[in-house]
Amino acid sequence: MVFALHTDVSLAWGGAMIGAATILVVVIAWSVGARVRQGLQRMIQATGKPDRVNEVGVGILEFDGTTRQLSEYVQRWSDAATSARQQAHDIDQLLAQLDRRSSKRGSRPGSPGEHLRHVLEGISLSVDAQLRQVLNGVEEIRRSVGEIAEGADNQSASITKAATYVEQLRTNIEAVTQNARHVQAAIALVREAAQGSTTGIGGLSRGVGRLVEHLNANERSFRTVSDHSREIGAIIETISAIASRTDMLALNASIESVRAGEHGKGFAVVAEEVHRFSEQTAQAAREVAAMLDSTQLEARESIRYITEAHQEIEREILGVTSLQEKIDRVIHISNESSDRLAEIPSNTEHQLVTIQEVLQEVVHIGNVAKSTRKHAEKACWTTKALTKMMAQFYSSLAPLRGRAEPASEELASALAESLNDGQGQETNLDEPGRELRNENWEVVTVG
Amino acid sequence: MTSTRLDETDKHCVFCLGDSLFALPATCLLEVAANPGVSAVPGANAVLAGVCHLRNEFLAVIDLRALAGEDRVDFGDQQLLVVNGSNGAWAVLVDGIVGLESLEVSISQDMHSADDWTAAMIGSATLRNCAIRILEPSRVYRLADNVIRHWWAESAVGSCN
Repeated sequence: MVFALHTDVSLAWGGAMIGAATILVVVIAWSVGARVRQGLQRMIQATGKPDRVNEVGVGILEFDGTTRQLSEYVQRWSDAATSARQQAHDIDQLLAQLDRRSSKRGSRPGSPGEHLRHVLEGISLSVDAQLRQVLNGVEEIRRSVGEIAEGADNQSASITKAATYVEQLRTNIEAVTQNARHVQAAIALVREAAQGSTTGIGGLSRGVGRLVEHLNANERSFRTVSDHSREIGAIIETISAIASRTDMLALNASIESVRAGEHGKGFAVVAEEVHRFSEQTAQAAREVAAMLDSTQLEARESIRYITEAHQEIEREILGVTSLQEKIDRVIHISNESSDRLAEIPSNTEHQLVTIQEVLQEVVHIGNVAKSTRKHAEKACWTTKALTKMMAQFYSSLAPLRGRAEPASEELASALAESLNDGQGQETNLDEPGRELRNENWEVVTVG
Repeated sequence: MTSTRLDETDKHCVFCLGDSLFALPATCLLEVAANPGVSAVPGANAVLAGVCHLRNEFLAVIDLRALAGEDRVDFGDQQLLVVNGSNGAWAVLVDGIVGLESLEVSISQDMHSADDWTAAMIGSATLRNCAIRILEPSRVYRLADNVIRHWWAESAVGSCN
């Protein structure tokens, strides 16, 4: 009877214990699920919306990869929470079956409590394993967040360099535009000078043409003089021949007068006069012939000089023509160069506009990097909070374990180290001396 | 050597032959003419320059250069000095006629005995500081005739041999 009473009391007590344990497990499971869900929501908020992730990922492949990895971790956590909820449900069903069996078969002393203790220990071990998995995930998230922060820093530095280079490029393009305008002005001056030279060369060619005409006229005149001199020489030869015949006639008359003796003296006087006349004629003819020879010589020399001058002028005309062709080529090339240079300012202005757009995009990328940095910081703090939450959860599971398990001890120390490491490895984004860019994309030094 | 001053009627026709001046008495001359063209006589000595046709008369033309032993020159620009000889007119080729001048002739007796070209000269004179050798026409003709005849004789002997 006492034993039966004791058995009934034990069964009642066991049922009460099982009920209390079931309620406790349900509460804990619900709390764990709520905390995990809250942590997941914080992680999702920290990592941003998927659309935002895609938007940030434009041009930042590393950050996209890290974000995807983070999304996978979040999905894994969500699966873990689902598994925990499933386990809590299994525990509820198990406790319900235990209640039914104890009410049907009657209770044996110590058996339900022992069984419940084993069940709770199994649950605790399972939760420890899940916590260890969650802890590994948190660790990986924290490492990923650190890499994201480091990538954001590198990206910020690269953007700073890119902005500097773009600024230098814009300055160089402006200098190129200015130089192109100067060169265009210089080419315009060269073209004007070449056109002036062309005009001068045209006048020179016309002057040379007139000079050639004068030379040709002079050459014709000298040739006419030479021809007339030759004709005059022929006439003088005739005169000389006549004088010679006259002289011979006078000589014969003198001979006849000598042969005539006294009767030929008068005739001898006439013959002598004729002889003198013929000598004077011959002398005059010789003088004229000499002068004519001199005139012809000078005319031939003049014609030779004119011919040489004509040849020289022909060579100079060829040179002037070649020079004219070269100047025309210079004008043509300067026109082409001027046209091409005229296109440079418009092209460079277009390039400047493009560079301005690139600069704006770079500023936008910098802002995205800053936002990414902030989100990474939030994610870091969220992982810390999650770690604390897991520590609290682990503490709340201590009554269920009953005795300290080696694995649980290791997990507790790992949680403590994780908390300490999280604090120790916190990335200080605002350390002094660090160069950042503000909203206007001006370089500022954190100080 | 005797020197005789001739009167005005003893005029001489002065002519040049190369660089030398010669003279013939004007009374022995018929006329001075341009070279009408001398036709050479085949096989004759060079002293006989040839014959020419002047005023319907054939004249023997004597080359004084050949007679003096000088080289023959072209006759184209030469003149003819027609001499009135005892056997008829004949002519000599001269380079040019200086004129009809009154000369103070110095007659040289040594020239008569000479066997060469100088035998045709009777003396000398000066004209404007130039020496003139005075030729005697009959001596010139005789000397040329001797040379030509001797030449014909030797040519005939040579052809017979």
